[in-house]
Amino acid sequence: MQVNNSSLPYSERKLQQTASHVSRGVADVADVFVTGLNFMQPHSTGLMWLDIGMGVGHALYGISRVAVAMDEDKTPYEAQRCRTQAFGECLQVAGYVGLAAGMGPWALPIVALGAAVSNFAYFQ
Amino acid sequence: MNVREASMLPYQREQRRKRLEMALPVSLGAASLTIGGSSIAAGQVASGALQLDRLDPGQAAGAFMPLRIASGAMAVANIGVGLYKLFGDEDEEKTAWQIASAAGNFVTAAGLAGQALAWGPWTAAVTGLGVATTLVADIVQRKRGE
Repeated sequence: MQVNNSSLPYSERKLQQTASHVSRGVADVADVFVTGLNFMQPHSTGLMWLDIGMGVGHALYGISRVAVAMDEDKTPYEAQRCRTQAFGECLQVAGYVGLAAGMGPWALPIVALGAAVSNFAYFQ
Repeated sequence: MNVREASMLPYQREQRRKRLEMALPVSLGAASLTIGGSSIAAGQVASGALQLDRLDPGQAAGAFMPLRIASGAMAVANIGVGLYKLFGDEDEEKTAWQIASAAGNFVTAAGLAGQALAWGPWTAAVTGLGVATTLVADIVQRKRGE
């Protein structure tokens, strides 16, 4: 999430943005961990629920990005950034659905591609 | 406006916006090629395992089914994107490059549908042709500022 409250002092906004980057990094680490587990132990029942949970999490985040992109106060750059991020999240959801449905390691490139697009948009 | 955006020059902001815009067709093309490639590779692995009697035909079909469904879903997504490019914004006059880009999406969808129906590895060439057409059309369209 980007920090938009311009009434805050610059140092405070910068600190909040750093916190936002850290939470983004933690989410990426969780993705790497879960996809790594899928690579090592495909077709495990417990992992299926973990994949579904990750898919739901990414879907909710993607929906929040779409909502932000539709906000008329956003600049064209910010709106486009949110749309691209939402598309990356959508790809990740598709990858996790594939993993939960039993595609096995074949779904991992889709998750990786989605993560790459989402991170590219986030840090662009 | 956030901290990062406030620190950008207007030109930089516009360049980054264009880059983000371009990331959409590039990633859709990459996803189509990834699904198509995985589908072909899985098909080859399954047929190899069948020949070596490591799998029975039912197991091979079962293992291959999620990838076929994914190929079909990606074909539907490509058709949706192609239709959006053609009819999404009615007020905007469509350029030849936009129509070529949409046509590329339909060709990609045809290739992916072929993979979903297990028509064989040659369908990957159709998918690749469609992705290449879409990317070239989108790049040219953006370079020309249309």
